[in-house]
Amino acid sequence: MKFLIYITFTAAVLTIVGCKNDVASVLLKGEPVDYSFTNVDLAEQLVDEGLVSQFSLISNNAGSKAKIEALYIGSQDQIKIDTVILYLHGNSPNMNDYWQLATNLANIGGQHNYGVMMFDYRGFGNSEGTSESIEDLIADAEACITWLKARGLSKERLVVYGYSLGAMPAAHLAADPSVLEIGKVVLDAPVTTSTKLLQDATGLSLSGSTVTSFEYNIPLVIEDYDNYLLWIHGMEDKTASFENFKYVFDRYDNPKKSSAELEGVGHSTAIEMGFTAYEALMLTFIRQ
Amino acid sequence: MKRKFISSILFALLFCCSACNTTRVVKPLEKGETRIAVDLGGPVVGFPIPMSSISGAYGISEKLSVFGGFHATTLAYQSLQFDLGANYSFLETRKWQPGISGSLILNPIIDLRVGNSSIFPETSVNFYWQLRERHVPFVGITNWYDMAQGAVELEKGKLMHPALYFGYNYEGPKWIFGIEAKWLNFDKTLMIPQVEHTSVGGKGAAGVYFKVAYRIFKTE
Repeated sequence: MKFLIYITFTAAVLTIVGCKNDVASVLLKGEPVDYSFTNVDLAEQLVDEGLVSQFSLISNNAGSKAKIEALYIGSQDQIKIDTVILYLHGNSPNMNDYWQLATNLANIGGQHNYGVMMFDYRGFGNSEGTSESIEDLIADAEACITWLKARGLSKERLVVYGYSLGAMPAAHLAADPSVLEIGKVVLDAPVTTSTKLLQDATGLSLSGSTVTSFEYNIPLVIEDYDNYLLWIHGMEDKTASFENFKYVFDRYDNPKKSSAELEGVGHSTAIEMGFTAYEALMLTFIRQ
Repeated sequence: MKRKFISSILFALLFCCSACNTTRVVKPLEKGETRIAVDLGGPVVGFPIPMSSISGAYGISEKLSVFGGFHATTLAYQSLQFDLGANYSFLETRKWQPGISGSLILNPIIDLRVGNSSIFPETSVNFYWQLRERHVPFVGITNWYDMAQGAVELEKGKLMHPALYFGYNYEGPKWIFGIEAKWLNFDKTLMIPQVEHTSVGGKGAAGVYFKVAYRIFKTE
């Protein structure tokens, strides 16, 4: 009986100690890293290493400031005339995991055809602070847009590309821009809502707030976006449900929407579809 | 690696809102018997996730028992989840003929962040045997009913959320030790981001659970 009391007491203590836990607080956390953005780390689509710059920015979410780490591929002097893709990465610990993808984007249509900016959200990689809400992720992306705008970027040359986790802030940012209106947005392997995440796991009519205070709602916010939108999704995606976003996309009333619904492709869309097909898809979208 | 481990545990929590404990009462308690139990276990994501719950049960008569449980791990994520139910014996076991019991259960879940609450009725049927007095193997089926299925986003709600299970209890005079395997939501494909969970034929999630219970008998 003492053993049972001990177990019960331990469980109660753990519960009380941990009662502020949130699923998002751990999942939205990267790992410090030695950044490495060189051709040695690339399998294809090499870059001019002299055109790769890594630097810090200050992100400000309603007074909550954080120093975030960012990367620009391309000539900063050309930002005032180049088309620039702002890449919002997925839920990997840091930017290193997306270096190949970023260089692929830079080299679409020719080497360094487009400028590409990428950053680590606060709490990811060597970016300071913690990501606790969708507003934190949006603020970090806005810091990058502010940096680009200060160097001459205008609305018609900005493409915001959100992959997986990055699709959440990308959609919110597109629908409600505060720094620069967004004319083109790519949602690559997006999820739909925080509530649907829980409902897909349990099948039950539970609210996402049952396990997290991190709320996002892409279907709701994209209703307010009426510029160009490209949705890319692998039909075999086991991380972000293809069927869920297909449901949303089919009901999304925007004549400027387009999609790439990829048979036999999983969550790593850009890699799995191959560079040639990916390049053609992106060129068609960006040049329209 | 550490991040993936934590992710697995956290996302496994998402499953565990439904039927994530051993069967509270398989064979009715003796009249006047009180039982206190601790459950550990959960869906298998390479290993069984150690979700925990604490429960109590009481034998009102030889056929009717009542029970209640409290889910400690869910509370750790700011949601209060418990279960209240009654188990009735329809048929006693004799030699190789299984005993049959059924339970009616209510599963309230209250989200302490914003105060949302849900309640899921549940029914279950158990088939059990009692071998050499102390050995109780069993099989059963349980079902959660989602009365608010319309609230599931993208019109994907379903009323029925079944689980199949089988297990074994060693019932000593004071202590009960149990192990149970469950196939949760076996009629659905569940999607848990970043976690490879064990399913059967791509359906549902498989879980393994352990129970330790202490029996208290009234002294006349």
